Amino acid sequence: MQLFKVFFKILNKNKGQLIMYTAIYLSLTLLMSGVMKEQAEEEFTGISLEIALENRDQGELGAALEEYLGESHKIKEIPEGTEALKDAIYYGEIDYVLVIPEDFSEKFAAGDRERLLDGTAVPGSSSSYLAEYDMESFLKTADMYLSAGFEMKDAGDFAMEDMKEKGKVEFLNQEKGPSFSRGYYFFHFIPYVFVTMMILGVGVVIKTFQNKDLSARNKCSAVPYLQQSLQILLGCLVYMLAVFAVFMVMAGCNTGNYLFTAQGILSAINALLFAVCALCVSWFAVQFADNTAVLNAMSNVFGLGFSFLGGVFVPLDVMGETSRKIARFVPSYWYVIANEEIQKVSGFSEAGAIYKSYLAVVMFSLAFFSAGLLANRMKMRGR
Amino acid sequence: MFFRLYKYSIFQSVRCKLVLFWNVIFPVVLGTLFQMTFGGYVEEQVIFRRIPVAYASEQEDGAFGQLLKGLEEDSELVKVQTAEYKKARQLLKEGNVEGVFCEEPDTGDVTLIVAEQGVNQTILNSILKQYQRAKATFSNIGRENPAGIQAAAVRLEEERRYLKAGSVTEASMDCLLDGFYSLIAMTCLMGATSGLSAATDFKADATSLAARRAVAGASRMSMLLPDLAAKITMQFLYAAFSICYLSFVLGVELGEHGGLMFLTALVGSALGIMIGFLVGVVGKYSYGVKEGLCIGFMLVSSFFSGLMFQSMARIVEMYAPALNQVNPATLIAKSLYSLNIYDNLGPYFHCMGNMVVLILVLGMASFLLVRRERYAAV
Repeated sequence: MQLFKVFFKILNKNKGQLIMYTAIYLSLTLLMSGVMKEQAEEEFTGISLEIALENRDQGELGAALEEYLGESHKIKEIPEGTEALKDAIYYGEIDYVLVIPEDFSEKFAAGDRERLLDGTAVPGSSSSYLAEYDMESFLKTADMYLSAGFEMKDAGDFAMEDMKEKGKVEFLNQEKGPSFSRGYYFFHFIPYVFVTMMILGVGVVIKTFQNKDLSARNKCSAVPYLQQSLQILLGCLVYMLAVFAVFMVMAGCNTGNYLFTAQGILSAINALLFAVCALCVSWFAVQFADNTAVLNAMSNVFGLGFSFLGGVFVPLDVMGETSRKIARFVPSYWYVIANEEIQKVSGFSEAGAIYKSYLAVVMFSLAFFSAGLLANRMKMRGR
Repeated sequence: MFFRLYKYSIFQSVRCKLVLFWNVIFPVVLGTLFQMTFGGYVEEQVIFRRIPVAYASEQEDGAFGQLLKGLEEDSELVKVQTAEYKKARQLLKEGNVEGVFCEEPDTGDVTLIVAEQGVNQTILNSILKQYQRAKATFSNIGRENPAGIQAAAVRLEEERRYLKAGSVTEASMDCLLDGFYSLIAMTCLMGATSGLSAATDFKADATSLAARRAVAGASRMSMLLPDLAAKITMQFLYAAFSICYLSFVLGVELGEHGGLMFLTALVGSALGIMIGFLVGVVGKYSYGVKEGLCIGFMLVSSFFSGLMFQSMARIVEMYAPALNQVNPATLIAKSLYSLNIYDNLGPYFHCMGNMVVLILVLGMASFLLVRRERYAAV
């Protein structure tokens, strides 16, 4: 097992860089999983808008409008200063800004009702349409009561009462949407980490063994070529399992009992299969790298490329139809799909769609491994 | 001598294929990936488009059907497709419509069927609620003051706008632009590896070139300055290329202040070079470790500016605002953001000022570390 030992001696030589990358990626993964969790929890509380409102009106109608908006949307204070306001709108913290002027109720009662309120929003956005539709419908109702001869207070009260009317809404499928667990967010970023770790770790060692003189010397040694290849392969597998184990320990610490549930086991299998795929990607990438600096570049190209295209860094929902179609040609897409599907099942028997995604990742592994073999053979012939 | 060394240092930078890859190819690949994944986000998900709905009723002209027709023709809010109940559900299932309104012919009750919860579905629900409310309003008026029903009906039919809508800015309010700003920031900070190579070519115990330079007749500083100037020039050109590629080839709306954007790229590039130079002159670690440190720093700094998660800089602003004041990638990205979003240049110059201070601090620290450095043997 000389080559197997040498495999880890070479890895040991590069341990500083590997440990540094592991620490960086681990902290990034943990930080991102924490941030994503917090964001998603906020997002899924409902589809009520964030409306920044300032009510300068002393009358009843302004108060009634504020109360009405507060029932279906979140009311916030308007940030001080134009820059703070722009920041809040840019980052989606505020969907609409409404200022109710001082004499709003008086003017409305007097019949001066056109364009009384000051609204500010991202022009043409769907959320501004929703906010404006809600406000207009409340004021239209109040207007109808006033036109019918009601007093301002009664008009406001009746309008508020009418606003309690609900529409009957049904879902096409009665299934409840999945609630994503902490485990989902931890496993979500694994493709980026695994691809980078495999290319940097395994790539450096294989690159060393592919050195022209070293390879020629090894070929004429007493150890058969097949055994040499098997020992290197074993080294790769052990390294892959070690990286996988480190992340599973981290997952155990980060997600509590999640790993011991059916979902956790499916997530772990998903990660293991992706680790195998990442190993094959590194085997493929190493054929095109002349030195470790190029390997470093490739780790970023494959790591970031798979992550952005496959829906790791950008949610698949945000991606356009064409991008989603292209995404099917990267393994991380199938990993992400499996990770989402895992959250919808409670047992192994319901995991049909997940097994299909597993199969897609395995197929990608075979494709990258075969392409790597082909590139390797062509390189050997070239020599 | 300055210009000769400057020229050769430029040649040296251009001939390094790996540097070209990191600074030219990598931003192009990443920028294209960004544009592919979320380039059409605002157009597809934020900007309002008429909502396609299906109307299913056995009755030809139900009251709700009339309302939908009015909304389709007058306010262009919805695009209505009349279909049988089963067909309408099928349309919803296939994603051809965003909601199905079913009107019971006997009772006139309307049910909205949706596939998911979103802003468009909420607007459809508001339309339905408004319909129910109008019925309740007429019922109340009929009970309390029947003489007013006619006036209320006239008011209901009347097209009247109560809101005076204004826009906060004409600039693009797409928060995914943060990703592109961070990409430009990352390109500037990639100069750290060039700064590192300038340091290793300066420290006589690091490379043979530096050792040869150390015994040359000219002062070491007079050889260092053209080298740094050339590296900053090249890094600026790479960053400017990235800005041009994003703006003109991919059509990303980065902002209108072209000149100031290039100035940001120049200052950002100088900052990147100085970070790498400081890493290069500190300690006696191998080049590989220092290069890893530079790339790691660049990635972490870019992460906190929103390269991988677009609202990251905002989150940092909420929980650790001091970090945003010193994080190089955030300062570069925020400068570009300020140019695009704000009407005044105050926040832009604040970020630029912070970058200049950082460059001076890094420069001073590097100078203190290398000044009067002498080698007994190399």
